Amino acid sequence: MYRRTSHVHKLDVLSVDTSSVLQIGDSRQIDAVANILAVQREQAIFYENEFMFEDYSVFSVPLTPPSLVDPICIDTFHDCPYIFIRKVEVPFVAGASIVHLGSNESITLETRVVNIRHLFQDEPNTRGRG
Amino acid sequence: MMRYQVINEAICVRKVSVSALSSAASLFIGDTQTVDLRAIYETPPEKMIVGASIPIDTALPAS
Repeated sequence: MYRRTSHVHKLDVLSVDTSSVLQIGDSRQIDAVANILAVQREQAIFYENEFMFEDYSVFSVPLTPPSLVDPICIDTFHDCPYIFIRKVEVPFVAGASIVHLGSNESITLETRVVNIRHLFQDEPNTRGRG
Repeated sequence: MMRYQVINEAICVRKVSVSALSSAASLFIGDTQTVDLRAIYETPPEKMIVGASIPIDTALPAS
């Protein structure tokens, strides 16, 4: 496949999270997977055997992409073989995501996140004054 | 069979500004063939635990 050349003059990135990719230049195949179990407890007391990935079905359910019923014939013509961008700003890149300057064949990104909050006390009753 | 034709003319951009990329997101400058992005994000109300104690079966440190 014939691909264009990307020209980026300036790229600003502050933070790249786990399983993320910042790729400058061509690549062929990128597969990134992140499983995140985030627990916010009022007091930071944690034990070894709590919050295991296998206790949450989210991390085991299969995620299959919908299959293409009708094949599509794609013809792409590049009148101009370049992509010009003066400046790209992406300060934050979260888990299993990519910033890619250049061409590629296949990208597969998968994230599963479960957020749990544990408060030790219920909200104080303000009797309608709050 | 569906036929899909694309003609890419000159593209010239001064600035691309994205405040943040979330999980399994992609900012792509170039050409690619296959993109497959999957994400599950779960924070249901029952995931908010309120209670002074840590459940006893989980509170025992692993031996």
